[in-house]
Amino acid sequence: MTSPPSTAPLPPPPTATADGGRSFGSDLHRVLRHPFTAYLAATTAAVVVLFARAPRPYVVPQLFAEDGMWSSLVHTRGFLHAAFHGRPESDYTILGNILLLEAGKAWCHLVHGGDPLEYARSCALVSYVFVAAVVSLPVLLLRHRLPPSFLAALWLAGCVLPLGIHDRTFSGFEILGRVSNAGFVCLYAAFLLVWHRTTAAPRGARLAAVDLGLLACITTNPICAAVLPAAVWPQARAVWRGRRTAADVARDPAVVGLVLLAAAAAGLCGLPNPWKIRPREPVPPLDVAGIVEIALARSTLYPVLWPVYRHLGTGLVLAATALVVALVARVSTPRRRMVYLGGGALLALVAAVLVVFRPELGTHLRGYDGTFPDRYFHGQNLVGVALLVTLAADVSRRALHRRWLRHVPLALVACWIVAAVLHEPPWRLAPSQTLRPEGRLFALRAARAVTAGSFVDERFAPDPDGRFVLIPNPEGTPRKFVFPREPLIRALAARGYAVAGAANPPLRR
Amino acid sequence: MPATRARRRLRWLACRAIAWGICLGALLSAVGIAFRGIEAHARGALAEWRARRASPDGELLAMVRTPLPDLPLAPGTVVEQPLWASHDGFCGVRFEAGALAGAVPTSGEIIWRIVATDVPAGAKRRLATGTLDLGAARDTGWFDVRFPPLPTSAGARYVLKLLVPAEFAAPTPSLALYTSPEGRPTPVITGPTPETPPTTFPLGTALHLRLIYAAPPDQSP
Repeated sequence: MTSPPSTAPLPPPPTATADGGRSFGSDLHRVLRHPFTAYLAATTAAVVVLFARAPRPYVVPQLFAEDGMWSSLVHTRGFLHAAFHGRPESDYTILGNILLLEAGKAWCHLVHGGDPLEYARSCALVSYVFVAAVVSLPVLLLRHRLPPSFLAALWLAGCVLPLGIHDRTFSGFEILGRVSNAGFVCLYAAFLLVWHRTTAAPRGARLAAVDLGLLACITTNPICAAVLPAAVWPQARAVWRGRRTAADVARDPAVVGLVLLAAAAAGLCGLPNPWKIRPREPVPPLDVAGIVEIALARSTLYPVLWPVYRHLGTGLVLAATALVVALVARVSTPRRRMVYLGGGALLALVAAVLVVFRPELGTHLRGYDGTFPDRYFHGQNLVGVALLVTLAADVSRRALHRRWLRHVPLALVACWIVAAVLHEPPWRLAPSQTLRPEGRLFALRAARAVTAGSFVDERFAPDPDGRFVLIPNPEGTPRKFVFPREPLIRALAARGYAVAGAANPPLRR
Repeated sequence: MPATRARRRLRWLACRAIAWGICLGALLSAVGIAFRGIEAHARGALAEWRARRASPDGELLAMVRTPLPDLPLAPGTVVEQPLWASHDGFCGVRFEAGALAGAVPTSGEIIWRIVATDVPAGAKRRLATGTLDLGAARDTGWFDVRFPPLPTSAGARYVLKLLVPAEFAAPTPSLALYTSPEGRPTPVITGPTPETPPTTFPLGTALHLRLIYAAPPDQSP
C-alpha cells in the first residue's frame, strides 16, 4: 500500500528568504566563487603586468608595421576584405588580428569619440587585454587538471616569460601592445583549448564556445590547425581499444563539432600554402648548428634554457634535449602522457615549419648571441612553460608520500618566476621602449598631409574629394597610413594643429 | 503564485546582475588605478630619457650599436641621408667622422646641402647649402653643418646631401658607420661616376648622426 500524499506545505526555495540581504550575500558569494570570476581577475592582473613590462605602445601610441597597413584596410575596405586579403602574399587569413583592430576601433569610438589620433592607443590596449586573456586561460580551462598553486604559477610564468624586452632589439617594442604580433599566442590558446576539449569533454554551448575559439585561432595563425587531430584522441583511443564502434564515435557531438570546425576552417582559410612565404632577401641555407638553435634551443627548450641561453652550443643543447626527454618519460604520470606527447609533437611541428620556411631566423639569432625575433617563438615558449609547470605538478603528485619533497617542484617553479622577473624587471623602463621616439610626429605628419591635400579614395588612389587622408610614414619607409578624412581633420583642429585648407570643398557622395 | 514566482525570479536575476556588476566594477577599478600609476611612471621615465637624448650635442636620429667599417667617400661621391625633424627650429646636423689609416683627414672641403622632400611640385627644395671644412673634425671627430633655423620643421622630412668634389685630393674623408636596432632608412651612395650603381646598405645600418634645433625640444612624449 502507498502512503497518502503529504499535505504539509512545501518549504520555500532557498533564495526566497524574507531577508533579502542574505539572498544577495549568497549570490555575491557565488559570483565570487565562480570560475569565470577567477579568470577575469587573472586577466585584469595580467593586463597590468604586461603593460608594466612594455608600456610604450600605450604611452606613445604608434601604428607599427602591419598594424598601420591593416588598420588602413579596415578603415577603407572594411572588415571582410582586411581579414581575407590583409596579407599581400595572400598566404593565410588574419581574422583574429582584424577582429582586434575592429575592437580597437570600437573602443576608440566608445571612449575617445572616434578620434583617429587615439586609435593606436586603443589598439594597444586591446592587444594587452587579448594577450592577458590568452595567458590567463589555464585558470579557466585547466582548473580541474592542475592544483591551484600550480595554476597560479603557470599564469604568472606566462605573464613574465622572457621576451627579450630589455635587449636593444625590437622585441620589446613589437610584441606586447601590438596587434600584428598578437596572433603568435594563438598557438598557446589552441593547445589549451584542445587539452580542455579532450579532458573535460564539454557539451552544448561550452563545446561550441571551445570550437569557436579554435576556429578563431586557426583563421589567425594557420599552424594552429595542427592541434586538431589531437582533439579526437579520446574517441580514437576508445575505438582502438574496442570500447566504442566507429559509428558510435561518428555520432559523438565532439566529433561532429570537430568535423564542422575543420570544414569551417578550410572554407575560411583554404588549404594553407606555406610555399608562398619567402624570405625578403636571399639567406644562406641552415647548417646543423642553425637547425639545432632554431628548432631546439630557441623554439622548444627556451623556457628551460633562457638563463644560460647566450652560453649554449650545439652539443649542450642536444644534451639538454636528451635530458628533458628522459626526465619527462621518467617522472610524468601516465594520465598526462598524451599531454606531453601532444605538446611535444606540436612544438616539433612548429620548429620544423620555422626551419623550412623561415631559415632567415638563423641569421637573426646569430649563434646564441641574442633571442630576437622573439615574436616568432612566443606561442611555442608559452606551450613549453605549460608543459614545464605540468611536469612539476606531476613530480609533486608522485612525491605525495614525502612531505618535504612534494613542495620542491613548486619552489623550483617559483624560483624560475623570480629569476624571470629579475631578468626583465617590469619596474624599469627597458631600452626597447625608447626606440623610434615618435612623440607628436604622427599628428604633425597627419596635419601636413591634410594641408598638402593628400586625399585618396578607398583604393588608395589620389582623389581630391576622397574620404580618406593618406599619411606617409614619418620615417620614409613605404608604409602609409590611411584614415577617415573628416574625423582626422576634426581631431587635428581640436588639438590646435593648423590644417590650412581643411575647410575643404564639399565631398562628392 | 505565478506572479510571486516571477517576482522572485526577477529579484534573483537582479541580485545576480548586481553581484556581477560589483565584481566587474571592482576589477575594472583596480586595473584602472594600476594602469594610471604605471602610465605616469612610464611617462616620467620616457621624459627623462628624452631629456638625455636631446642633449646640447643634438638629438640622435637613430640609436647606434656596434661600429662597422668606415664609409669612405671617394672623389665624385654623393651621400644622401634621409632625415626627419621632430621639432621646429631645425638648424644643424652633426655626424661622426670616420678615420682611415688611423687619422682624420685634416684638409679639404666637401659640399653639403639640406633638401626638403615634402614640398609641392615647383616649390623650392634646396633649403640650405654650404661647404664643410674637414679639418674642423680633426679634434672633435665630428662634422658640423649649421644653417638658419627652419621655423616649421617639426614632422618634415629632409635629405642631407654630401658631395665630394671630383677633384678632391687624397686622403679621402670617411664617415663612421654603425649597426642600429632601429632599422631607419640608411644612406644611399652614388658615384663616383654617373654609371656607378648606387650603393645601399642593409636595414640596421646607420650613420652616427644628431639633429640640432634652435630651441630646446619639447620633452613630452
